[in-house]
Amino acid sequence: MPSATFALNTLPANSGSPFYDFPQVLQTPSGLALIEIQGTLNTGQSSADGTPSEIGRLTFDGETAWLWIGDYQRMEGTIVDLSPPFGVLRRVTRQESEKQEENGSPDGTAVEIVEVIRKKILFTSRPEPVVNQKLR
Amino acid sequence: MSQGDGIPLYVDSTVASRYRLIQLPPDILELLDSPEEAAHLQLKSATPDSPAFLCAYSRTFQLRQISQSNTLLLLSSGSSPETTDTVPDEILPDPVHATKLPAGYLECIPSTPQIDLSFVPYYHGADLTEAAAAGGSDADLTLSRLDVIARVPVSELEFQSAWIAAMGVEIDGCAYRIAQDLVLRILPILVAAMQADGMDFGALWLNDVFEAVRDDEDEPRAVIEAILRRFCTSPSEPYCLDRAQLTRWIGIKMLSEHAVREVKLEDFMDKWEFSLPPALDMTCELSMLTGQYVQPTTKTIKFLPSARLPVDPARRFERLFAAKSSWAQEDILPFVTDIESDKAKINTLFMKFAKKKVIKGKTYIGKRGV
Repeated sequence: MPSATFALNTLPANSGSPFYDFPQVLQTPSGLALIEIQGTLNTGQSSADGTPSEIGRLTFDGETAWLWIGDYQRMEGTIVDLSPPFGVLRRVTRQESEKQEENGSPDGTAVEIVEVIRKKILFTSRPEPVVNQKLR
Repeated sequence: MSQGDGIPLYVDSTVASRYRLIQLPPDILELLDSPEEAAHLQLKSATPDSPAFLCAYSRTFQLRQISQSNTLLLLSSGSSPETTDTVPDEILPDPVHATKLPAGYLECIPSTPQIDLSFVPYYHGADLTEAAAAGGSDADLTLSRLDVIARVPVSELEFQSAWIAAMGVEIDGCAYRIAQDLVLRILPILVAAMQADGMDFGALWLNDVFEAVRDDEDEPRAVIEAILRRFCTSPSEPYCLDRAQLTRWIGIKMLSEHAVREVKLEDFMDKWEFSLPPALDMTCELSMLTGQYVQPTTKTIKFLPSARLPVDPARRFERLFAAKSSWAQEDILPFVTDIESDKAKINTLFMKFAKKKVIKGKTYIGKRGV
């Protein structure tokens, strides 16, 4: 019958470095954070060749976050509490679970909570036009 | 502030995220913090298509996928293994990479699952089981206790109590439930042996009990232990025999033979009293069997266990009134309390599916439209 062990990740945070430019409240040991956008994100054709596409630049001002898209638009978002918090689940692959034998269930499947995220950046509004400061 | 000093955000939409989100309500966070519970955490489901459960040591949660249409991005900082692509190096702030998460998240709902052990074969006694094994009838049914646990998506503790209640036993690596007929045969021998050896029913040691019955009974120690634990109040030694529960169990077993046809109350009580080991010093009272029987007339009785009635109130009342068209309120209550515990709501059920009548100060619940 399908079963998998389930555990909180106790390994040292090595999967990512902290976001040095992020506000302290968003920092997590493993360097994971969450963004929610009310709407669909259309990254267009450019991502078809496999390279990640830049959708914008993030800036912060206290609890407010701005996502600047292209030269003429930006979206306003806020840092909000996640209540209840979210766990980021990851399936541990077979080789990994063999390394840590005690974690493996009989069929070798293990799921771990990589990180507990308590805040997210929430974008609820439409992108608003801005005057490009370079053109001023 | 302008975009120039912002952190570049890259989204790789071609890579499916390896991550899923799960909501962590306070109960789950508590579980994760408690070493005893966390050590047992497991995701289980009975079959590949049935719901998944998160099982800890003492509690079980059902997992449910909640869909939402908002876009969820999981950000990881530049050196993450999630994306290995090169990043333009002239930019001062560390770029941030994001992957789209599957829309929605998993929700954990506390659940008290019904534990179904009906797939575990019955153990009918050492002689009969050997004969069956020789005949090859049950030869392919060799589930161990661990196999049974894996098939039942509940926590360790909840499984334990269900296993004890079902008198589960593992003999030579095979899991069984002890057949009721075998229990009925062994119980008087067990009680008589305890009494003969002058044991205190309130403080029993498995070793002593097993030694006492060994001369009269050749069932393995595990069988004696399973029966003893089923009828005891304490989970570990010394066991304290619950005489009332034992009496009730025998009563239900005797009554279960009369599920189709009613029997004279007097005959049933005689039979019950006769099967009860005299050493128990208990008197049989009909009130012990509340919720298990119906009295079609004042002088007859029939087996009607509430646990086997439909959960849907409309169908349950239909079955109850098929067994007896008019019930005294106190008689019908045990058949309703297991689907609804709130007193006011029970009254609503009576109003909706039945008819209340007061005759000489006594309340009767009858069929609607009669």
